[in-house]
Amino acid sequence: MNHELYIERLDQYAAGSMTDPERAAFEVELQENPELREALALYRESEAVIEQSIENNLRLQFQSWAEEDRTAQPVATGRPEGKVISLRTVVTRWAVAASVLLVAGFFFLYQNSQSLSDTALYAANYEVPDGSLLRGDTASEDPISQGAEAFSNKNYAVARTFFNQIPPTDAPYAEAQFFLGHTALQQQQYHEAISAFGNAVAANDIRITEKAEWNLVLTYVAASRTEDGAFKTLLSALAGDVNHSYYEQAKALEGKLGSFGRRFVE
Amino acid sequence: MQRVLFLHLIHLKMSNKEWTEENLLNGILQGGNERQAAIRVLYNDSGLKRMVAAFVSKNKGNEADGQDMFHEGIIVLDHNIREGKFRGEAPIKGYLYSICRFLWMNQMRKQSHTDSVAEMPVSSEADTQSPEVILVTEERKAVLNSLLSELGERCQQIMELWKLSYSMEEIAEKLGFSSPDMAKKAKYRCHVSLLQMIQNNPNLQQLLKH
Repeated sequence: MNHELYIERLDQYAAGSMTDPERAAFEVELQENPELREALALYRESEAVIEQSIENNLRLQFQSWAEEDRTAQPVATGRPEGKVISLRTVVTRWAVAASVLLVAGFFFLYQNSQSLSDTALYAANYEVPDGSLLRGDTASEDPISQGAEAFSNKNYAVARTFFNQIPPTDAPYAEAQFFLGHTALQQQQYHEAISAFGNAVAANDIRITEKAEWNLVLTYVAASRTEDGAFKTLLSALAGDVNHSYYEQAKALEGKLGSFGRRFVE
Repeated sequence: MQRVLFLHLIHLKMSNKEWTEENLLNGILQGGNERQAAIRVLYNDSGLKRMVAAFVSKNKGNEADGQDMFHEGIIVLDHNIREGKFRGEAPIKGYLYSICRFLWMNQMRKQSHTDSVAEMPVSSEADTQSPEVILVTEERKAVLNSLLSELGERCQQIMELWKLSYSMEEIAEKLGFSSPDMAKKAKYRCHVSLLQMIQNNPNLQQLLKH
């Protein structure tokens, strides 16, 4: 079945946004066209899948709110039983311990500040893609070989023009957007890189999706946009998916971004 | 009495907005951040939470069960409002309570404890309307979740935001698309992928129908 034929009208029908005559005509067509009926049935099933996603996320949201509520609770007033130590002794011990920790902490932060900057994290993780590895041995016949070659030769202007001209309906669209992302990244055009990697992910090409997701993460880092909600959501998804190809890297990056020393990095 | 209940407004305040029945209903229907805020208001309704917990604890449940039922009830309420199954004929609070009761009783039935379930005094608000609750089997849920995994995280996000009535502008902004048009194209591709995934698996189709 060619879903493209029906999906727009099914969206309108399901959302109730058709006019009365449009709706009436659609329902007549439903009676006469078995393929449209099947398309509607599949559409309803797809809605059930999306509803499941909404339900799952609402449960996660409740957990998150419960956690917020817990952390917002005042500290428990119950006093633990134990040996009575004078306040002065406690304060002195804590002061000494705090001083030692403070000195050690500043030393540690100084040592690590460079390695936790956005630039350093990006450089430590980013890899220039190898076009030939991605596409196999038939590069000469590959529809995007011309752009990939321009990219390899650092002829980014030519590469961008080439990748941009491949429409979403063409088979190598995901791959083209993936390379476009890298091209834009090389030119520090972060907004365009984010858009291109996002498109590559959305194209849902199994060869590209996970690579594009990871590079999208790295683009946000390169652009110093690690506070963006979209970045946090994506990194968290990668770091939470043990089956993801970049799970280990995402987990490590998440740890570094959340580390205490990171707060002191400009 | 019904008329009184219908006219009864719950006044809840959050973020300087007065959350009347009408605002809660419209907030969920509007989708996006308004839906999120309306659900948070319901989630924070400690009085209703206590009522649900009391019902559950009097019927063989514990505090955690009560909390779970309250959360599951909000999920059903949100779905029913968005699907037009609840149009505000009764107070939302009473409707939510009756959903929670139904869900717990159903769970108890599944555990074969029906005979020993104590009768609860019926609250004046509790049964103003029978909740329409579609119970999804664990098997079906597993299928839905496997399809979601196959669909991928990005497409899930796009499709979910779209279903929750976020505009293409908002989707583009939240997910980093260069324009609403690109977000729209991505939604289109994701939806087609999902339809193909369902179509290409007759066993899944069969199960999803039941």
